[in-house]
Parts: sequence; C-alpha cells; structure tokens
Amino acid sequence: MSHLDWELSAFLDGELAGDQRRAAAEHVLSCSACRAELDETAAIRARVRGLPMLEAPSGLLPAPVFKPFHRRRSVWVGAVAAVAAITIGVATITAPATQVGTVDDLARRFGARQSLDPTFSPTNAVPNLETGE
Amino acid sequence: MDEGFPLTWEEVARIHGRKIYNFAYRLSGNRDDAADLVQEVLLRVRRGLADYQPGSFDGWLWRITRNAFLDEVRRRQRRPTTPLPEEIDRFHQATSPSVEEELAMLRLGDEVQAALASLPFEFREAVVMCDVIGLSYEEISQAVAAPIGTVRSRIHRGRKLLREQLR
Repeated sequence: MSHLDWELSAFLDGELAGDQRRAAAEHVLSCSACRAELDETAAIRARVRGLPMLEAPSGLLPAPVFKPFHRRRSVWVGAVAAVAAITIGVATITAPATQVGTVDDLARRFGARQSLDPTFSPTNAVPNLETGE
Repeated sequence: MDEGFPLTWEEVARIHGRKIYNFAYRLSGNRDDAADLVQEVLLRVRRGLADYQPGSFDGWLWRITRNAFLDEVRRRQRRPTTPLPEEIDRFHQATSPSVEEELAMLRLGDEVQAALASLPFEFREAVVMCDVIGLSYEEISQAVAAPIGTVRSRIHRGRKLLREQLR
C-alpha cells in the first residue's frame, strides 16, 4: 500500500468508513512515515481546534428573550420548593407526635410513662392528644 | 438535523450567530467585517426561511454564510487581511481569574490565525468549517458546493500548509 494522504485527516475526523478505516489503521501501524505524518496532522488539527471561540460584539445578536424572566422565576420556584420541602419535612418529623398511629406506636411513645405509671394506657391517652388537653 | 424548519430567524441567530461570527472572523481576521457578515447572513436567513426545504440545515446555513462572505469580499474588492492585537486589549479588561491563561491562549491563537490568513481561500474555508465550526465533510461539501473528495483533499492540504507556516 502506498503512503496515506488525505486519509490521515479523514481518519482523524472520523470520516473513513469501516473498511477504509481499518485499512488506514493497519497501514499506519506498519509504516513509521505515515505514523509521523498522522501525528503531525493531529497536532495541527488540535491547534486549530484550540482557537478560542470569540463572543460576538454585544448587540449584534438578539438577546435571549426569556432568560432574565426564567432566572427570576427560577429563584421563586426554588424558594417555594424550599419552603414546601421544609414544610413537608417538618410535617413528616412532627407527624408522629401529633397523630395517632397504631397501638404499637402509642405503646412505644408512651412506653416510658407506662413503665412509671402502670395505670396509664396509651389508648386512653388518644382523646387527650387530639384535643391537646 | 433533517426535521423541517421549526426555527425562527431569531432562534437561528441565537443558536448559530456566534459560530457565524467566528467563521467570518477566522476567515477575514477582522472583527468589524465579521460583525457585518453576521448581519448580512441573518438577513439572508430571514429571507430564505420561507423557501427552506427540509434537508441538511447546516449545509443550507453555511452555504448562505459562505456565499455572503464571498459576495462581501468581491464587493469590497480587497483580500481579507490579517489580524488583530485588539483582542488582547479586550481580554485585558476582563476580570476573570484566568486572564493570564486567556492571554496566553490568544497569543497562541494569533499564530494560528496568521497562518490561516496565509492559506488560499478554499483551503482556509475548508479547515475553518471542519475545525472551528465542527461541520462534517458532507456538510462542508454542501456548503461549498464541491464534491466530498474535493473537501477531503482541501482539508488535508490546508492542514499541511498550516504546518509549513507554523513550523
């Protein structure tokens, strides 16, 4: 196989189809001249690709229409979400204290009191809990 | 990008305007010329949207851009010139913490930019479309209205010429 030319760039750019790609790779592996060429081509390609992407002068392109609105709204959405999360969190944490679950829950919650006062019954305590009395 | 054409010209401007600007800048080496070209291209896009046929949007857009660029060059009857120390001043004012890095990058970029400016137009155009804009060979072929084989050899030849310049 003669030395590679445009195939080197096409290889780097992913523009060779399966068979061509394989043939080019095999050739490069066995030909040091083409391997050196490939390296040089890759280096210059990387330099051009590394050119900074410049900003267009301000006012040249239309401003992103919804961006400020989105940003402001997203702050509020975030705030509302945070408040909601805190509320839900608080509700979840406080729920066992204000709501009556199973008898087992009550037994756990009042276990200490029950052990100190054998006449105390969690079931009896339910109405008191709900009225807050 | 083979779906019909759901974009307005403003959306084209927002999505592609910066790339068009960089394309023109890398070809011309002149920021004012690049800005003028962006305006001209957007005008043509606006006029052309009604006639747009589903196909390769990038091929279509870059053909418009390239033709506008060539028309402008012909109109002014002067060759694109080389850049650009103004870039450095612009970045000097930036408050970014990596100003040093950006300056170094720009200086390196200057060499590449100057080397690009030395290439014949067809090679410069092919390399910029491939390596700055990131178009595929097929898209470049549509944009410059040349067979893909021609595009391949222009890109490779362009890179070889750049190497010689930057050696």
